[in-house]
Amino acid sequence: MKVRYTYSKIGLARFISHLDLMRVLFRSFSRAGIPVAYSQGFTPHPRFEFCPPLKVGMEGLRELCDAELMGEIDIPAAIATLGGILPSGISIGGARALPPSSPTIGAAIQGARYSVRLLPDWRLAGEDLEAFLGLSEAKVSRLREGRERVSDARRGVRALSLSPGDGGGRELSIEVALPGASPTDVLQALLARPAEDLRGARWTRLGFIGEGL
Amino acid sequence: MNPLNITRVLEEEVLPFVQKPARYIGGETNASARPDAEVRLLLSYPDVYEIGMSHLGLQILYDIVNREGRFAAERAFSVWPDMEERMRKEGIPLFALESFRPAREFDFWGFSLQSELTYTNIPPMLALAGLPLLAAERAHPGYPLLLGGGIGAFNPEVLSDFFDLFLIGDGEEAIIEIMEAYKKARQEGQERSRSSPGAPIGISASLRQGRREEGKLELLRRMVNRVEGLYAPALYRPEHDAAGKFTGIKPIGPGIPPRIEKRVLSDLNRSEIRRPLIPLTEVVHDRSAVEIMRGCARGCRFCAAGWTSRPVRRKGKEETVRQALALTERSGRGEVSLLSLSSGDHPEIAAIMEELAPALARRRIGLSLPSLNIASVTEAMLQESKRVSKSGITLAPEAASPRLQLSIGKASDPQRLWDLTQKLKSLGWRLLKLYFMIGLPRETKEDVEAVAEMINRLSRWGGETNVTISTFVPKPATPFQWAPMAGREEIRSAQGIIRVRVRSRRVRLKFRSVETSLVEGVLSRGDRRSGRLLLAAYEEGCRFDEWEECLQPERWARAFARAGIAPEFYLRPPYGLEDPLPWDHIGSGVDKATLVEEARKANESPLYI
Repeated sequence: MKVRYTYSKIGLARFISHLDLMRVLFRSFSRAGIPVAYSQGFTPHPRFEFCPPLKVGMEGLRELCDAELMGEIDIPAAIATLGGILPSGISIGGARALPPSSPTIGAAIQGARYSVRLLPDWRLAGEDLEAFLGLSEAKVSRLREGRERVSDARRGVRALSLSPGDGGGRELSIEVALPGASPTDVLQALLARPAEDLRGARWTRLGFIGEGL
Repeated sequence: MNPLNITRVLEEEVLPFVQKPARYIGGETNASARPDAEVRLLLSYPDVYEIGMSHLGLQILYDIVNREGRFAAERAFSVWPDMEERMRKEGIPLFALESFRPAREFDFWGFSLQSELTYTNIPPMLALAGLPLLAAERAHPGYPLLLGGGIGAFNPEVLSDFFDLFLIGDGEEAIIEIMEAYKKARQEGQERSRSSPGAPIGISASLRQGRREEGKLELLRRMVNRVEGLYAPALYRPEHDAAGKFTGIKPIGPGIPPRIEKRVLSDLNRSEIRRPLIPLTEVVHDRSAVEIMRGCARGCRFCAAGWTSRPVRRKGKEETVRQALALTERSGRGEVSLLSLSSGDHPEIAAIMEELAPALARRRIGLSLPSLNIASVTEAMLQESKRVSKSGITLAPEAASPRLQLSIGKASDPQRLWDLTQKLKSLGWRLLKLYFMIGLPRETKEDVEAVAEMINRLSRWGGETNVTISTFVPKPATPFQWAPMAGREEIRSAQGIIRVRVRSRRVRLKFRSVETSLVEGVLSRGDRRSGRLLLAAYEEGCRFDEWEECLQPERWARAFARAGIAPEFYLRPPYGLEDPLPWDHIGSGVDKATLVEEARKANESPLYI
């Protein structure tokens, strides 16, 4: 049976990398006694499929992972067991058995929604968002491993909006297609600031957009 | 700063800006914060998280202390320089990974001392915690007591300026006794000060300081009298002659034991990790470890671990299998490692593997035996470990020529080695890892050439060969504790001989750096005056010296000059077999007479055979 899990990674756990998170989940499944299926071959791997990686430091509220299991399990019981095992900051929001023919996560995901908390001196108005959406291209550059990398921050951006956030600040929401621009590139283009200035931004991936997720 | 502020600033201002932030977030499964504990212990390994979390001893103590309702253990590791810079900028002191409470608020701060090269990470940790570096400057009762333990405690003198207490030997039973003794001694101290007349108004600062110092010595005295194996360096005064040679060490007053015998856990079956900490980020040894044997009867003369961990104690087959399976279930980890100094010497090893390997294989769990002595490897063992693990196998002949093998007390017959590699090949193993040492006592050019020759011969075994060549560092409490260490030029030339002679493309040769080995050599047989050196090294910015890319020889050169210490004195100490040694008052469980006898045997081993 194939089960799709929705999980969140919040608080300090957002500093766990994707690779580490995968290991945490494998181990937690194993400890919970969930019979995960393994790939064939020289080094068998658990048959999991994950949504695109979250950047280290970004929270995720509705992340996705499919697990291929050997045999049937009692889903509510497994969620409860995992709840007692997973480290703080990581929790399973829900799970459901997938019909045999359902598309994989990779095939089903069409886009993702993000939000970022704006610092008081990051000036951004509704007009700026409209102007950005009116562009056909928005080049931004950043240093990556010592080399300058230029990308198009406009690619796939579907919607932008501003709203009041926690504690009196403001939040910017970004909806972007996948594949599409990285949300951090979008923020960089909107604020016209160098990437290093934005490293401390508090990001959340709210969830994914797609048929039957 | 309180724990709530610390987590907030960490999240917002610190962690987004540092490499590998998951090192600093805690929150692992089975991590335990107990705010109501009566005595709080902070456990540290003076290196980064990935290294510290791979150390079994720290995990054992963590588990034992947290089983006790009244006590609590938390953890803190060294932070990488980028993190330190950011923490200083934001005013965050070194904190515990469980409660985010500042390190200086603990009652005890325990350090696991496993490698001399990690010692330079201790002063930076104290400084980041906001503590005075020297024990003598921490007389105020609000400061935590610094407690050192592990193999490094067999020569505690090097660190004596910084530490209040050392536990010599096994910590399983002693750690709880120490916390009990502390609780009691503190209560008594308070009762005494309450019953004595109050301090006169206007008491001078120096008088108050004097009383604090007295109070701390009294606390230490009470503790060493209650707990066997506990050494408080402030209660002893070492003496040196005009040339700087150590002449002896004496207690500063009556009622202080002149000699401290190490603690020995008699039954290894009782050592078990019940609630394993499962790291959230990859650590160096990411596996469930079951210690199947402590101590080693082989007596290789260079091996500090072997000589200081006697007598040999074993975990039985039933208990080993039970612990391995329980750990697997509780951790979800994909590998079990059976730890000991020489696993093949466990009399039940074949039976353990026969039972454990298939049970683990069914659960897709690998099984590994990290240290095998060539003499004890059997075909059955290789068969069993082959079922689950396809990685490499490690063999450590250390020396190649028969006469040097005889002199170091570790024999590895070349024919047997070759036969073993052929068995490995037929069983499908692909990687052979070999360890050799250069700079051994009485080593000649021919001995080094023999190493190259042995590597060349073994490299034709049929798979990949990784070779690590380290430099011998004489260690206290071993028969080679008197031996001169090889000099810079000798080490370089020995490395050169091997580099030139080993030409096979199937061999990957790695050398331990000369400068790293020399620093290790100086600290290994250090004495009370080495504290000056560590302090100077701290001031020069030395840290993470275990990481070869971090050790900076010019900083060390300046540190030696600043401390007025000649490395030569410690690399080739002026002590004869009859002289007192700076660590003689620490009982390692082996008579000095035995070490002398072994040293003589090493010297008398024939030059040519």
